[in-house]
Amino acid sequence: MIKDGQGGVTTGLDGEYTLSGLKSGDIIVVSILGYETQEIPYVGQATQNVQLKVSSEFLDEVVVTALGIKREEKTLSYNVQSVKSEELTAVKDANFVNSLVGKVAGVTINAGASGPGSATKVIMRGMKSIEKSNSVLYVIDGIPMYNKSFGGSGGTMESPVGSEAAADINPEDIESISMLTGPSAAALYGSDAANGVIVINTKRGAEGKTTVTVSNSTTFSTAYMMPEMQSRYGKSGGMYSWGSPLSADYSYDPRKFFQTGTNVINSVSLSTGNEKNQTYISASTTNTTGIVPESSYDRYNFTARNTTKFCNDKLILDFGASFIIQKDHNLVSQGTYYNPITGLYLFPRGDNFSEVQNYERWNPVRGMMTQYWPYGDGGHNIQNPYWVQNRNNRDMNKRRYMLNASLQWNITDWLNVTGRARLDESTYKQTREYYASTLTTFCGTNGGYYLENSSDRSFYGDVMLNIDKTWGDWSLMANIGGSINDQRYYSAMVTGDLLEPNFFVANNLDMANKFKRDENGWHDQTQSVFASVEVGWNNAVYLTLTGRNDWASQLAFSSQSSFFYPSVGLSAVISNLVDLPEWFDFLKVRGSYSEVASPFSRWISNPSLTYNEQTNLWTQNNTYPYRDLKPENTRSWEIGVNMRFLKGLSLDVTYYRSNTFNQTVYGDLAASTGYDRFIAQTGNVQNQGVELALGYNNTWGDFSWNSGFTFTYNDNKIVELANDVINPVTGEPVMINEIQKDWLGAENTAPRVILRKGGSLTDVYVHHFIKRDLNGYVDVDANGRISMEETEPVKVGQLAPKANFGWSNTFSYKGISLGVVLTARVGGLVYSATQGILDFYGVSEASAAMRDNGGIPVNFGVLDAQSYYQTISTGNGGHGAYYMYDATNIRLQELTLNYTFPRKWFNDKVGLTVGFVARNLAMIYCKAPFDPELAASTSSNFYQGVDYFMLPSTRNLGFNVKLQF
Amino acid sequence: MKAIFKIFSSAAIIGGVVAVAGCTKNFEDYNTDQYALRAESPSLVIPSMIETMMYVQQNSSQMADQMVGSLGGYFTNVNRWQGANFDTFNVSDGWNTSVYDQAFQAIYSNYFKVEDLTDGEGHWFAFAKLVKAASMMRVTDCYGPIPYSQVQDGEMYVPYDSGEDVYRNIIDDLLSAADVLYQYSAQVGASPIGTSDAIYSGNYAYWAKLGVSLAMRAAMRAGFEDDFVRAMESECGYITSNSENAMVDPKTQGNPYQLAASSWGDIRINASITDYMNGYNDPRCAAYFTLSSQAGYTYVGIRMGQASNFNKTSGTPFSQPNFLASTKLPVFVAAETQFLLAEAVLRGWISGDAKEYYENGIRLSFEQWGAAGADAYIADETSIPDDHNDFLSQTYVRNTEVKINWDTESDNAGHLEQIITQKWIANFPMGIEAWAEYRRTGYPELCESVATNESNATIHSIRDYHRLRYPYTEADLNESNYNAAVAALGGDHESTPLFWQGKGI
Repeated sequence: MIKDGQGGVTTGLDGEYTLSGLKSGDIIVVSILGYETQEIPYVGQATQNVQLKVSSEFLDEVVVTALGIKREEKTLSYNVQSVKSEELTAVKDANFVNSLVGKVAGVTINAGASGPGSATKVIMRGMKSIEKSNSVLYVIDGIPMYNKSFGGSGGTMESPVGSEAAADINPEDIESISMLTGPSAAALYGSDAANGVIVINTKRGAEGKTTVTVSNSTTFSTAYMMPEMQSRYGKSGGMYSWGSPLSADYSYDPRKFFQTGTNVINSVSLSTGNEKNQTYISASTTNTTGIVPESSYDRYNFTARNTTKFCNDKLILDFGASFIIQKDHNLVSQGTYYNPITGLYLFPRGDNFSEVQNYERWNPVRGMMTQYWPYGDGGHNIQNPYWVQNRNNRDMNKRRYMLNASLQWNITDWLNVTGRARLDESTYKQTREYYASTLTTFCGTNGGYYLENSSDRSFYGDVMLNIDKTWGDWSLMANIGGSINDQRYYSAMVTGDLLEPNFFVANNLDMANKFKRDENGWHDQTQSVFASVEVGWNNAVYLTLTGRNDWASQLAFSSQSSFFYPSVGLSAVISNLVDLPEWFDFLKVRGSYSEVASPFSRWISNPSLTYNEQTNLWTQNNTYPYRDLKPENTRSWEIGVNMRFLKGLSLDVTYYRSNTFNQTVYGDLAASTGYDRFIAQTGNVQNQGVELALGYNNTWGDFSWNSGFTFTYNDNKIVELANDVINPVTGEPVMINEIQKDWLGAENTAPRVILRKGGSLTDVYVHHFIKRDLNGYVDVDANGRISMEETEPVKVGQLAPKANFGWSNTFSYKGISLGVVLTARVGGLVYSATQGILDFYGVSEASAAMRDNGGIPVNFGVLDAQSYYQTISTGNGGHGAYYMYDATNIRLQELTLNYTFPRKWFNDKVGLTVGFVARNLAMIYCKAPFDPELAASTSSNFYQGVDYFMLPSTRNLGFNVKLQF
Repeated sequence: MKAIFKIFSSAAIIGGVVAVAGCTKNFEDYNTDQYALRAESPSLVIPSMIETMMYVQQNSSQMADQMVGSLGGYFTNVNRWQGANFDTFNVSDGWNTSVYDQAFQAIYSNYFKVEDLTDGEGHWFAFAKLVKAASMMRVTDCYGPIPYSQVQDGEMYVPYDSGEDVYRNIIDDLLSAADVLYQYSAQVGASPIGTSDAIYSGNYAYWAKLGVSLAMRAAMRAGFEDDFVRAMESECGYITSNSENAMVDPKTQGNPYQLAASSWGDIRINASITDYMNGYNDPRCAAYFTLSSQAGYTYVGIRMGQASNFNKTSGTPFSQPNFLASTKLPVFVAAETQFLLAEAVLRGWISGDAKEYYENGIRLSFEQWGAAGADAYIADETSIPDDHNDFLSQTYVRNTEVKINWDTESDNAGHLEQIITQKWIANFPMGIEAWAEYRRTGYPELCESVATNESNATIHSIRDYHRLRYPYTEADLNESNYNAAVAALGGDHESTPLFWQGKGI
C-alpha cells in the first residue's frame, strides 16, 4: 500500500503485485503477517522486488480462539496449533479431517474404514470418559457444531455405516484451522470442549480485489493392505479350504474383486469486495466411488458469505449461508452384515469365482432373478459379494443447511457488542432395500425394506461485550456474554418384510409379521453466562481468567440445576522482559489450569419406560433409579514453552495432565434385586503427556525448506475406578473392582477391554491359552489333539498408542514445491479377527505355509496345520492370545509435487498450479496384517483396533489443478 | 461519561438477553423422553412380564427356551457357536445366566412398579403376582433355591428361599392371585388390559384357571399332596379344554422357533422326539415336524450335544418344527392337567381312574394339534419308540419298550413312564418344562449327547445334569446369601440334585 494514501493491493499467491497511481516520493509499505514491515520510497522504478525479513515478533500471529475471538498467540496461556488452508487442500480428501493427520501434536486421528467420506475418530490428549463420547468438538467460526456421525458403534453385526457432519465442510472454504488440544481454551465453549476443539475458520470475501479460483482434484484409490491368502490348497466341504493341493494353474486372487476408486473434487469460488462490503461465494462437487463395487459417496456444497459495514463503520453485519447435499451408497466398513468381503475372503479355494460373478440367475419357479450363491451363509451371514453390493442397497440422502449471522456494534474503538446466531439443520433419509432371495437373516422371502427419516437441528445464539483497551504498559481484554445452545434430534423408522417382491416402499411392508417401527428423539439445551478477562503488562506478561456457568437441561430432576467452571492462565514473553542472546528471537513460557464440567446424559435423572421395538412392549428401566447425580468434571493443567531461535527454528512444547472425576459409570447388580445395574458417579481417569512441535524454515536463494515435526505422547491411567461408591439403598460401600467393556469381536474368543484401577481405558485382556500340562508342556490328548483352556483374564497390553510422530516437509524451488508427510505410531495393540477366521477356514497364506511344512512342532511331535489353527482360532475369530499384533507403524502419509506457473506467462491475469498428489503411499513398517490406523468404529469408545473383515486400507494417487484469476 | 453510559447500556442489553435466555422452565420437558410412555398404568408393564412366561423375543427365546430347553429333548442346537453349550455340559458363565437374569430383571422391575401403583391391592397386582410366580417357577425349576419371598424394591442383598419354600410360596401366590382374578371376572368381567395380554386378551377367568393349573404343576413337581388337592378343588377351576389353553400369540415378531430353524438354521428337531413319535406312528408328527429334506427319510431329528466343530449346514436336512410365523407358543395345555390328575391318582393323592385321565390327555392333545386317529392310537399295544439312526450315521439304541395303550398289567412305575411319555409328547415344544419332568421322573429315555467330553465339561451325561449353576453375578454381588443357599443345597454344580429329583413311584 501507499503510505498515507489510498489504494492498497494484495499480492497474488506468488507475491507479484502491481500498484498504480504512484507519485514520486510516495512510500510503498509492504507488510505481511509474520514479517517485518518494510517501507520503500518510490522514485519511479518500474519494478520493486521486496525481500521481507521474518519478524522477530512473528508470534504476533493472530489465532482464532474461543467464540471466534481473535487473539495474538503470544498472549495465550495454552497450546494452540494452526493448520493453514494450503495444508488442508494439498491432498484433498472427501473428509477434510483426514488431511490433518501428522500435522498437529496431541491428536490421534483414525480414518473410518468405509472409504471416501467416512467418519473419523479424533481423540485429543487421550480418552477421558468411560461412558460418554471422547470425540473432539468441532467449532465453525466460533460456534459449536453438532457432529452427527454414522461412524458405527462396532460389533460384528453392525448397521450400515456412513459419514459425519464434519465431513460436509468444503475444504476450499476453510481459511485456517486452530486445534485446541487442551480444555483450557475450551472453558468458553462449554462442556463439549473438554475433549479438545477443532476450530474451523471459513473464508470471507477479501477487500479490493476480485478473485475467482477454480480447482480440481482427482485421485484414484486402490486396495492396499490386505491379509495374505492362499490359493494352492482346495476346498474340503462347506466354506473350508483344508483339502488337497490344487493344480498349479489354479489361481484365486481376492484383490481382483476391488476396483480402482475415484475421488473427484471440483470447486469454484469467487471472492470480491470493497472497503464496505465483501462477498465470498463457492460451490463444490465431490464425487467418489469406493474400491468396493457399487459404493459411492457424493457431496455438493454451496456457500455464500457477505460482510458489510454501515453507520460510519459502527456496525458490521456478517451473514453466511451454506447448503449441502450429501448421498452415500453401499458403504462398507466391517463386520458380517452387508459386507461382501466375508464371502470374498472365505471363498472355497479350487472353485471358480467368476462363476458367482453372475450373482443372480433366472429362477423359473419364482419367475424372477434370484441370488446365486451355492455356499450358504457359513455362520457369517455370507452372501454372494456382488449380491451384497447390487441387491442389498443401503442409501443415505442428506440435506443440510446452515445459516449464520453476526452483528457487531463498535461503540468506541475499544468497546464493542457482538450478537451472533447460527442455525444448522439436517434431514436424513436412510433406506435399505433387500431384494427377494437375500439371506433370511435380513428379510423375508419377498425381500425387505428399511426406511428411516431423521433430522437434527441446532441453534446457537450469543451476545458478548468485548473490551480491548490499553493504558500505558497495561492492557485489558475482556469478553463477557451469555449464550444459548439448543440441539434436537428426531427419527422415525419402519422396517419389515415385503409383501410384493422387490417393491421397496413402506406401503408394501408386511405389517403382520416381523414388522418394526420406532420413533424417537431428544432435545437438549444449555444456557450459559461466561466471562474472560485478560490483563497484559508491558506486552510481555498476560494473565487470563475465565469462568462459565452452564444451565443444562440434562440436569433437570436432579439436585443441581447448573454448574460453574473456571480457568486461569499466565503467559510471559521472556524475550520481551530480559535480553536474550542474539540468536534467540522469541521465548514464551505459559501455564494454565482449567476445569470443565459436563452434564450427565439426558434422561438418566428422569427415566421413562423402555420400548422394545421387537416385542413392541414397554418395560421399566433396568437401571436402579438414582437422582443424586452430579456433573462430570475434568481438571487439567498444562505448562509449555514456545521459542523461536537461530532464525528459522521454532519449538513448542507442552506438558499436560488432566484428571476426569465423577464419571457416571454403572455398577452391576445381582438379578435378584430386579435390576441389572445401578448408577455410580466416581472414578478418576488421568491423562498426562507431552505435545511437541519443532519447526524449521529457511530459504537459500530460490530454494526454501519448511519442515514441521510433531510428537505426541500420552499416558492414560485409571487412578481410581470406583472409590466411595455407596449403595443407593443401604448406604453401605460397594466394591467395583472392574468394569468389563466391549469384546473386540466374538464373545468369549476375542480379547476384551476391562477397566481396572491402575490400568488404562484401553487395556485388553485375553483368557484362553493352549492348555499345558503340569510340566509346562503343551497338553496333547490321546488323539494327538491340543486344546484351549480358559483362564482368569490376563492383560496383554493396551490399544492406545504410546506415541505418535508426524514429519511434514515442503521443499520449494521457484515454482516447484515438493511436500512429504511421514507419520509414525509407536505402541499399542490391535486384534485381527479376520486373520484368525482365515486361518480357521484354511484360506490364509499362513495356513498354507504350515501345510507346506507338514505342520507345527509340538513338544516332540508334529501337529497338523488344521488341528492347530482350528484350536487357536474359531470360526468367529482367533483367540486373543494368538491374534494380537503390535500396532507400531511408519508410513509415507502424503506426497505432493506442485508446480505453479509464472503469472507472467498468462499476462499476469491467471495463476495456475498443477500437482501430483498421493496419500497413504507406502507403509514403511507394519507388523499387523491390516492397517492399524483404520478405525472399525468411530463412535464406540472401546471397539477399537479391531479388524473383523474390515475393508483393506487404500492407497490414493492423483493430481490437482488450481486456477486463479 | 459517554463511554461509561455506553458500557452501562450495552451491559443492560446483555443482561436483558441473558435474562430472557435464562429461562429454564422448559428443561423438565426437554429432559423427558417425549417418545416413551411413563408407567401410569400397570397395563403398560404387565405385558413385558407375561413375555417371560414363554419368550417370543427371538434372542430371549433362543437363550432360554431353545438352548436350556433343548435338554428337554424337543430340539437340538445345530449351531455350535463357540463350542460351549448346555447340551455338552460346558456352557459358559455368560450363557448360564440367561434363564435367571432375563426373568428376574423383566419381572421384578415391572412388578415393583405395579406394586407401587396399586399399593399391592386389586386385580392388577394379582395379575402381576400370578405372572411373577409362573415365571419364577421356570427359574427355580432350572436352578433350585432362588430369592423369592424376600425380594423387594431396593433390597440389594436378597436371601434365598429353600427349594421347598420357593414352590410353597409360588403355589400360594398362584392360588391367591387366581382367586382375585376369578372374583374380578365374576363381578366385573374382562381385564381392561385387552389385547395387550398376548395370552388371553384380558380374560381373567382363564387366567385364574391357568394359575390353578400351574399350581397343580408345581405341587406335582414338588410332591406336595395337600397343595395339589387344594389347587384342584379351587373354585376357579383348572384348564380342561383346549379353548382354555394358555397360548402366547407371537404377533408381529413371529414364532421364534420358526425363525431360529428356518431363517437362521440354528435349531433342528431333536432325535429323541422323532424316535418316539416315529415308533408310535404318531399322527401328530405331521403337525409337529417338517419332512426331512434328505431323500429316504421322513421325520428325522438330530441328536443333541453335537461336537464343537460340527458345521450347522450338516444339520440343514433334518426336520424342523412345522411352525408358521403365526404359530402360538404354549404355556400350558389342557392335556397336561389330565396327565397331572392321572399321576395324582397313581400316587394316591386323589381318587379316580388314572387310565381315563391318561386317555383324555392323549385325546385333548390330538384335538389341540388337529390330528385324527386318537382312538386307534390309544389302542396301540405294540408300538415302541424307535432306536435312532440317521444319515450322519449317528445312532442310539433305546432300551425302553414303553407302549401307548394303558397297560393294565403294569405296575405304577410302568404307568408313570406311560403318563410322562405322553405328557412329554403333548407338551411339545415346552423344553424347560420337559427337562424338569425328565429330571424328576427319569422319563422319557433321551438320546445321550454326542460329544460328552468337550473342553471344560464337568459332567459327561445328561442323566447327571441336574440343574444350572447360579449366575456368577449372584456369587459376586449377593455373596453371603448365595453362600448360605449353596451350603443348604449341597454345592453349586450342575450335578447337585434338586429336592424333587429322582421321585419315582
